[in-house]
Amino acid sequence: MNHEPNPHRETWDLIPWIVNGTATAAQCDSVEQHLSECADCRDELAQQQQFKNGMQAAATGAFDPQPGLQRLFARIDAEPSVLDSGRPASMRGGRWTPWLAAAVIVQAIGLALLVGMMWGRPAPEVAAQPVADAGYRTLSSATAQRGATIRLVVGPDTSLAALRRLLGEARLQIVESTADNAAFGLAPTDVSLSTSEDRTAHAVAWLREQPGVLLAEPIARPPGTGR
Amino acid sequence: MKSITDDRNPRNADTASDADGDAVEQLLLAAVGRGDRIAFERLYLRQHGLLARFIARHTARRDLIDEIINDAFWVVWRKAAEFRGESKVATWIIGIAYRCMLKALRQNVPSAEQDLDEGFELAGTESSEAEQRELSDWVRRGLDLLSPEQRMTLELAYYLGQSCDEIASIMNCANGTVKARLFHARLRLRNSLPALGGDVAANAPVRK
Repeated sequence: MNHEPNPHRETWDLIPWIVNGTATAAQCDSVEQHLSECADCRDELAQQQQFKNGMQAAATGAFDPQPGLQRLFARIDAEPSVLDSGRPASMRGGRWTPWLAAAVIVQAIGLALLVGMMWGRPAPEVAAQPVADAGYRTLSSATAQRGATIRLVVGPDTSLAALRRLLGEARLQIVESTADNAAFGLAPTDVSLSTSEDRTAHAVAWLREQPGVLLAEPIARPPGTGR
Repeated sequence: MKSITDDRNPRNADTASDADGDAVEQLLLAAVGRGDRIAFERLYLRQHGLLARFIARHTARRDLIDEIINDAFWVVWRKAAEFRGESKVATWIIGIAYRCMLKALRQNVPSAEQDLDEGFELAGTESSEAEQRELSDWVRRGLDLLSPEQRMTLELAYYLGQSCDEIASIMNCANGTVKARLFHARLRLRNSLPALGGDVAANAPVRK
C-alpha cells in the first residue's frame, strides 16, 4: 500500500473547506503551496468558488420572521405542560403560578357556593312531597294527621289481599295506623289529588259501600294546614 | 503579494467573529434554557434568515418553510437546557432544522417542477439580473446532477458554511462519508457540468 504523501489528492480534498472558509491555517498554507504549481487544482478551486457563490446567490429572498415567531410563541403558550416538563421547577414557576392560583380560587368559590346552596335548601325532600311526608306514623303522634285524609276501619275478617285490592281500586295507601292496627289513616297515591276534598268525599263514599269496611271518614284538617 | 486563497474567505480571517458569534449564541441559548423569551426571540431572529433560505432550496412553499423552522425552534425551546456545547450553537440548530426538514419533506412530496427561484429575489446588485439568473441556472443544473446526499452535503458546506466535522454531526455520519460525498459530487460536477458561460468544462481527467 502506498503511504507516500500525495499533495494533489490532499489539496483536492481540502478545496471545499478552503472555499467555505473552514480550513485551518496549516491547511490553507499546504493548499496554497500546491496551487502555485498545479493548474488542475486551480481550475477546480475556481469552479468550486463559482459554484458556492452561485448557491448563495440563488435564493436570498425576503423572509419576515415575525409572523412565524408569533405563531411559535402561541404554540408554546398552548402547550405549557409539555414545555415545562423538561425544566427544573425553579425555572417554570413564574408564568404558570398565577393561573394555578386563579384556578384554585375559582374552585374554592364554587365549592363554597355549592355548600351554601345545600345548607340553605329545605332539608327534607319529603316536605315538598305529600306522599313522602305522609311517612308511616301512628295516629297518636303529633303529626299523625298531616298526611292522612281518610280514616279507615275494616272488619276483622278482611284479608290482606282484600285490603290491598280495596286500596288499589280507591288509589289510596296506608300512611298511618293506630297502635293496635285497628284503624288506618289513608292518603291518595296520586300526590296531585291530595288536596281535593271532593275526591276525598268521593273516596269515602265509595269505601263505605265496600264489603268489610266498618268505618270510612274524612280526617278533618286543622285550619291552615293547607290540605 | 496577494495569496490565491485570500479571497476564499478562510476561516482564520473570521475566527474572532465566529467565536464571538458563537459565544453570544451560547449565552442566548443558556438563557433560553432558563425560559427567557427575549433570548429565544433573539436567537430565532439570528438564525431565521439563513435557515429559511437553506430550506427554500428544497421547497418553494413558504408555509412549509415556516413550519420547518418553527418545528426546529420548538425543539430548541424545549431542549435548550440540555445543550452541552459539543458543537457551535448554530450547528446544533442547523442539525435540528435538518432533521425537521427531512421529516417535513417526506410528508410533503415536493412538486416535480419546483422552481427554486420562484418567489425569491436574486441577490447582489453588482451583476446584472441576467448574469445572476445564468449563475443560478448553472448551479441548479449542477445540483440536479447529484444524489440527494451529495447535494445536501454540498449545501451544508457551501450554503451554510459548515465544516467537515459539523456536517458529519448534522447528518449523523462519519467524517469519511462527508469527504467521500463531496469528492464524488465534485467529480460529477467537473466531468458533467459545462462551465459557466457555455465554455466546455474542465473535462480533463481528474488525478486523484
